[in-house]
Amino acid sequence: MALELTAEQRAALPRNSKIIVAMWEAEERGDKAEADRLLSELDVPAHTLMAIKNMPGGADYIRKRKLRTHLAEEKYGPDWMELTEEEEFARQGTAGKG
Amino acid sequence: MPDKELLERVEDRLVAEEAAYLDVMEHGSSISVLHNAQRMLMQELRKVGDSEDLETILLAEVLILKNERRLYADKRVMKSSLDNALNEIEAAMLLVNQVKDPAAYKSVADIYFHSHKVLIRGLPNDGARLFFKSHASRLTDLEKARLMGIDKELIGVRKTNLKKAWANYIELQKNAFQFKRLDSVSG
Repeated sequence: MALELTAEQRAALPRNSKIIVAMWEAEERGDKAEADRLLSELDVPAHTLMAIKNMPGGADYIRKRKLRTHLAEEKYGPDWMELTEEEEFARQGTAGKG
Repeated sequence: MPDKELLERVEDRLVAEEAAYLDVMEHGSSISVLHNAQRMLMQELRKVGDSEDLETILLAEVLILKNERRLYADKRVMKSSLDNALNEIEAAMLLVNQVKDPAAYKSVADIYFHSHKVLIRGLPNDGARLFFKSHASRLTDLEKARLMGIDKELIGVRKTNLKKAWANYIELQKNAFQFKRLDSVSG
């Protein structure tokens, strides 16, 4: 289900959106390796990384897909992957309003 | 066992959808990409529903709820509603593990037979069933509140999946108590 875009529309897309459109095109061609590579280029929002990390097998999924995690590191600290959900909430509590 | 590969594809779609959402928030110019990404997430959630697998359906819903919970971490009203939903779904998942094992479920569910008020058609109105009911009304409220067509559709798919899981759970309860009757006859 790739998106039909003119060259101008495509050029005007922000970074993530450009990558996502290219990823869909790779999927349509059946190029799974390229689609996976493009997924790992996305700037994934911190809240989504944290939500996935706290799913069963979530940390393994993040590593397997080689997701970019810098936004989570900025928001939750460099050790965000190692913290349990309880430890994070405790940290939020001491940092002020959660 | 939940379908791990299917859940990973839901995660892939959620990652792309939220990355597109980030672009819309920061640049405001790529709404068509976001809408397409939402459609693809919706397709994957439909497949989760088609799998008819109770645990896969519940885990996909946990993922969506956890993502929203983190997104709205600084909005008190949203946060407490999502915290409730997450606590309830986690309690429901424990019961799902038990209901599959009639003997284990029977030991948990026996307390419900002390009062007819907590039975529905002879089956325990337990924490899982309370979750299904309250989450269905939570999703109905969300459907009313969110205006964009695609958002409504996404919530509609989540509701359809929830109803499948709900029906599936009741079947497992029936199955567990059939076991009880056989057990009492033989005992």
